[in-house]
Amino acid sequence: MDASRTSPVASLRVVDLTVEFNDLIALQEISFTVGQGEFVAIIGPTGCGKTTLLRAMAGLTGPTHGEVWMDGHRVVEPGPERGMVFQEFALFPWLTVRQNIGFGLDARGLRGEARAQHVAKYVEMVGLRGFEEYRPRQLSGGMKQRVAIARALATEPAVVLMDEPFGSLDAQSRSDMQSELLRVWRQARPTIVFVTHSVEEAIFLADRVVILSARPGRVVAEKTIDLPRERVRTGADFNAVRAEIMERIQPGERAVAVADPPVEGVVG
Amino acid sequence: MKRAMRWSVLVALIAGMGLAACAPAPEPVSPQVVRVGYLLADLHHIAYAVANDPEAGGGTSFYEQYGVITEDATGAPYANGGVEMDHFASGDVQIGLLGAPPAITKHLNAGVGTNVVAQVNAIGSALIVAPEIEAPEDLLGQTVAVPGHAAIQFFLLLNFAQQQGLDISEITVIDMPPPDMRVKLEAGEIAGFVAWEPWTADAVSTGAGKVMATSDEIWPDHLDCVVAVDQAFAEANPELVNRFLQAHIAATRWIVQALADPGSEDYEHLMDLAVAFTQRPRDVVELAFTNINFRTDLDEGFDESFKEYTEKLIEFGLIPAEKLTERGYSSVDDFVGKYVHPEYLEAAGSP
Amino acid sequence: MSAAAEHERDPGGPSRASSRAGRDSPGPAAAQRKWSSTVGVILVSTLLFFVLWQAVAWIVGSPYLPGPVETGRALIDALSRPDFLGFTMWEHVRSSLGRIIIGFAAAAVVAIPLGLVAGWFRFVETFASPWVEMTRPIPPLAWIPFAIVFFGTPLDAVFIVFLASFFPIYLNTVAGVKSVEPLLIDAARTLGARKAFLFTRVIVPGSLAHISIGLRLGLGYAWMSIVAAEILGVKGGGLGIFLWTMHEVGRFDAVFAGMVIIGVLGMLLTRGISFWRAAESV
Repeated sequence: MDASRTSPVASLRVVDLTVEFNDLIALQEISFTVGQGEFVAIIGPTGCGKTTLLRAMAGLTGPTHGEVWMDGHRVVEPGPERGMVFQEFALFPWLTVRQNIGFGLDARGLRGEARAQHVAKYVEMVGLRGFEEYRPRQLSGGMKQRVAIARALATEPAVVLMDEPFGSLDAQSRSDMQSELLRVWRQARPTIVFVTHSVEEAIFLADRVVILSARPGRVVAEKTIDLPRERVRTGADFNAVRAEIMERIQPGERAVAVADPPVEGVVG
Repeated sequence: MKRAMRWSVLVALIAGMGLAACAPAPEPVSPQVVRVGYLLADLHHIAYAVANDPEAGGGTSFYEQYGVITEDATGAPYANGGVEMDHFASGDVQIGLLGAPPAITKHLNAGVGTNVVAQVNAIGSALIVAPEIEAPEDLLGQTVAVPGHAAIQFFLLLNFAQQQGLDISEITVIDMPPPDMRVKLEAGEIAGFVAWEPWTADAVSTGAGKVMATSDEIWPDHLDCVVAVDQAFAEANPELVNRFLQAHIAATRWIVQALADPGSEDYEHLMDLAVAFTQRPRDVVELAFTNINFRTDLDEGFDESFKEYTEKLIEFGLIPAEKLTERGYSSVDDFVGKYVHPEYLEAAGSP
Repeated sequence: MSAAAEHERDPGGPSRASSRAGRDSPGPAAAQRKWSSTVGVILVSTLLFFVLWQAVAWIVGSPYLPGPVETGRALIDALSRPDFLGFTMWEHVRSSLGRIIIGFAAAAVVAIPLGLVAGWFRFVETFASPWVEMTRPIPPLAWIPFAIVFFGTPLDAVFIVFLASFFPIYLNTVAGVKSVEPLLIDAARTLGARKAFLFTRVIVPGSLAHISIGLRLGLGYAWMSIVAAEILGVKGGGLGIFLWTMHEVGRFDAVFAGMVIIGVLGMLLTRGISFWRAAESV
């Protein structure tokens, strides 16, 4: 196998996805589609099941009801075609930065010069040149996050699932990484599902935003972002979209304590 | 810091005193009972059984005649002389029969407070080998059993190896009680053993092994077992020791006379006692007796032997030379002079 | 963007707990002082140990408790001359080490793969558990008669060492596999790792910390068992034989010397494993 992807891009379809853990309903009958090469952001209050949704899409968590489809095939287990950036980084502590990033390539059997170049490219992309031989425990949170991103992108999967990937970065780095991500996306055009807290980030990055309710998570609304890129965060139309979305999230959708039952009047 | 120092010293003192307190102290004992140590199924020590036997004493046992009551010390009979010396150290044994080498080694090395007061026998062991072993060199790379590394049997083996030019490091020497040795020899687990009678006679008569060298051949007419006493006990009860020795002498005399007269009643009775004492059949003990020389004297020859043993034990490395001075002796002669106490035997009457 | 600006730690080398603790200290000079004070403490403590030992020995005044001077003398003697068994201490050590290494290595070779499989496949672990739980409590020494008959010298001592080291290695390996964070396994799978690759590249490295604990424990038990196992009688000497025969003839100075050797060697060996671990993980 060589460095190129097996399938260029893929679409994702979430159909009536319900995920229950014992007595807890994390996700309730979620349905939405992500088109080939589309950049979709998922936002919602804390505890609404965004991570669970992402894991279900990756194939790491099985649905209690419903399915996830990738290009006409049901997703039943994880695989390299659905790369994932975890919120907790999940870096391999016994490997260096370089080895972590190259892990997926190793799994594919890529070796030698091709592998080295590939890894170097992604090290560069996330701005970690000079730190290749460091171990995760020697890195700050932000740096670890970058390694996680590079690692997921290095295999150039058809779908990239990202769970708050810029959460540990400072404002400047965050902004830089957002631009960087768009650049990469424009080049390779994978399908990206991006979970975030930040409405602004969602609007800046995504083609479409899916808004989830508090637990049990349901799709409250979807909003296509028509603005041309590069989007200006301070622009009037940007703010209009932001206001609109905040409107959708605000009423009764405040972040609730984890143990509370669903709030009355939840739009679902 | 000072406080910590004081505490440390205090703790050390308490620990030290605790340890010292655990050391056995001579206890007052009813004047007549003696706790006797001896070795397991060792025909050399048959005098102990004889002195306890009413028939041999002609109605009452020799011990009784001399006003001595004996009982087996805790753990007796012992697997080897080294173990017996340990039991001297712990106060279990007051008077004991054991080989001269362990009596020397453990006194000098471990400071066991004993003295030697009489002889028990000379010679009486042998190196037995499996039938297929032809020459001494055949023992190299093989395993040989001894009752213990402090025992005279190991000492004899070291002498044998030295005489034959064998490197002892190439012979694996393991410990085992003599009753187990023949079985292991037959099973092929050991190539030979050195043991006290009747176990060598036993191996020969069953055909399990053959004699490669009797102990007499290794060290002609060698001193073997002695009577040892706990120093403190002897100092507190010299009369009792005298009487014990009188019984021992009488018993030994009886044995010698019985052996000199095969077919006599005494001879038959001695065989019966020996069979009971060693749990070996009649023909085996009869054969075994021919390899033992029973005697009680402490003559110059005895002192010479004792001295030679000590020097040889030092030479072989069982006893570091410094131990002599550590125990307070200026030389080997000084040691022999102070360690062997002939006065009890003299008081008991000539052998 | 600059990652260096984010980097809080001193990038100058292996990060260890101690340097992490000293993260806020000003620099190399302080580190140097810290190191030399540690060495100082160890030296003083060691000295105090010997002084106390000598004091206790002097107070007790029994041949059964020799002091460090006597022990030292016996040690030098044992190292320079053959004893009455015909061996120098070097030969005893070499023989025992040989048996330990073989027995321990055999145990590791069997226990680690077994532990990895059992840790990964619940069924295997459950199936093996009664076998393990019933044999584990049996002291290795109880196997001696069996070992003598079935293996004979010298394998019988090696077998005892094997038994002693097997269980801690196996059990810790199983624990090690279970300790691998499920999230890491998830991440590996989303990167395309499956079965063999997952096992060798995630499970095994992830278990290494526990495995090395198991190895260290196993080595400790191996040491403890070798001394008793050698009393059976083994060719070529050994520390166990040395200790036993020296005790038999009342040479407690030599017994203590043997104990010192065992202590030092045991420490070196387990340090060796820790050292290897530390080097590996940098």
